Amino acid sequence: MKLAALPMRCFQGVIPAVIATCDTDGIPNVTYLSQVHYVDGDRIALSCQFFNKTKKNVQANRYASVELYDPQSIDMYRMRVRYDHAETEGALFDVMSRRIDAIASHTGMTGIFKLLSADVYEVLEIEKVEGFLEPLPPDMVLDDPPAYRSELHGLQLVSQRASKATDLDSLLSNVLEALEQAYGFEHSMVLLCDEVAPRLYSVASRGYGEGGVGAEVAIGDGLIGTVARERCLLRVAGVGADLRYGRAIRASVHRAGQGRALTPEIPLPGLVEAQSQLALPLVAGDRLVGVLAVESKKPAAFEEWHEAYLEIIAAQVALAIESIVRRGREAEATEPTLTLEPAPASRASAVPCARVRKFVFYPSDDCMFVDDEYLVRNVPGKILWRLLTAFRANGRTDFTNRELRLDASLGLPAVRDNLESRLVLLRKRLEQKCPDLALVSIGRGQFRLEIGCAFELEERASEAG
Amino acid sequence: MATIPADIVDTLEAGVSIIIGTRDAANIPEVARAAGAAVSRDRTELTIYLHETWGAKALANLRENGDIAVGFQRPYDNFAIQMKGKCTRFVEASEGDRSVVDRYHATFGEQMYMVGFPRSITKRFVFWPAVAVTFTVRDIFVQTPGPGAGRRLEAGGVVPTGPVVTVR
Repeated sequence: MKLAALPMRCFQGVIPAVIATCDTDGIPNVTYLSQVHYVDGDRIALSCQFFNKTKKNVQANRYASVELYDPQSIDMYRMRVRYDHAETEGALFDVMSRRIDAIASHTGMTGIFKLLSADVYEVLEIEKVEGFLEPLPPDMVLDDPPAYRSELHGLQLVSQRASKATDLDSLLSNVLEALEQAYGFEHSMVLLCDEVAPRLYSVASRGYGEGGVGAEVAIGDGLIGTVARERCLLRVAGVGADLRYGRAIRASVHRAGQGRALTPEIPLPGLVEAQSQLALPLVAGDRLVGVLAVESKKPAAFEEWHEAYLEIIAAQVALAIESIVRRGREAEATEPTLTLEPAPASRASAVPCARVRKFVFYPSDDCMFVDDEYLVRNVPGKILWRLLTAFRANGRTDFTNRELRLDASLGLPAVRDNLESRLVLLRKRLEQKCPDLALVSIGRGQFRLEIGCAFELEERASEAG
Repeated sequence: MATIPADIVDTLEAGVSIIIGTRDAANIPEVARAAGAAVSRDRTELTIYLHETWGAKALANLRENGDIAVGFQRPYDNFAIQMKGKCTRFVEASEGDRSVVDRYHATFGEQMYMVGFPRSITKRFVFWPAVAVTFTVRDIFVQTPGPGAGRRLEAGGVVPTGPVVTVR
């Protein structure tokens, strides 16, 4: 049988592969492999993270035997392979290295756990191991992922939804909804780049409940942060297996007394029980706009064809985001400036509501709490504080994007700020955590703060104080 | 000769994943998987069970030269060790051995279930009929991934504690 005849999902690492080698004295060695990479119809590459007995053996006696599993059918394949060479740079090395970097970063081991080389082996022979599995009972239905043969229709659907959107919020929520309808992606999120710090924040999500919006990831951290840093697509199947492997190394590093080099493990934004992840950069021209990430609880949910379609969608979404933001700004520039009169009858004291909500702002980390519960932080936190204090001072309820952009206290950069996405995030957090306040659009680049409760404002030096 | 530390015997016999390395006369390696393991009373010998059909090549190699490497790995935390030695006895597994293999099958299914494998899959693995292959343990190495992998195992304090899988 030929290497190319193996299902590609065998190379996703869902079930760890095994390698047996042998030294020149005939002493065998057997161990698990963390990554088996399909190079071409005749070759595979194995990841080498530590200079170990396997590596020593194949440098002396080049033959090895590899066992690989199909994660769906659990069929077992044995390959006779011959070590050819090791690559320490180049495209193959980079592809294999990124996946390891993502796990290393996630488990707080950047620089400790890394790819030393991509070891290329010629495949001499492959056999499917017969007799390892009982035949499937005739009445058993295999949990096959549905074969989407209507991928183009899916693209068309996503494209239509994206082009109909008039603002950032509807663009992103329409696209995520269409991805679920067309491709069955139930858990997805879009994170955009923070323009003032090297991090991303999620501004739209689907299938994550309340926690989805506002999650933050530092550039370079975990799968999403790695995708942002490298600006390349990354797909990880068998997330559980990768993390267990990473944590085992982490524990070994601790036992070896090198624990000080470790940094805390980063909680993943997204599903706790995710088994497959696929993340891809949103790039418009030479600019990284953000990251689109999809997850699944199934171990091998995403395949190669998903990547191809998602790359097209990501390119379109990135351009659509840029276009909506640009159009919004052009419209703002031509709008007459609002006359900032106090709005009638909207003072908090006049609101007929028995409830009094307490907003506390911590300027040390730009964090806003409502009734002792975390609401929002960073730029959206500062914006909300500014709106509430303006209302308290002179009863203003109507604001323009333009005045926020020009307000130095918000710390937005002079060009290419992400104000629209901050307002989307703030609007969603208010819907979830404080529906008594709402930001309602009243025309291009203008919005109204609607207040349905009485409130108190307090600024505190630090959380402890 | 090495003695298997008493504190890892339960782990070795509790359904952890067991992988085998053998080689033929030309030093061509062959990977396989075992269907259970039993530690001798004096802890100097290990018996592993190899399936007659899908372990046939490994069995032929072992009958020819006896050189074996056996890797044990606990799926949920990757705690792993490797033993090496020379096989001395090959016995068609008896009904008495069958209880060892059946218990292995059940506990292995539970170990795999803990890392997300449906029991409906592990139940389909065919572990019987098997051949009992016994070897004298010459070396034991730590194989948990990380900087310590590959060093010789010393008795005491090497097994991270964790849930013990038992099946009635």
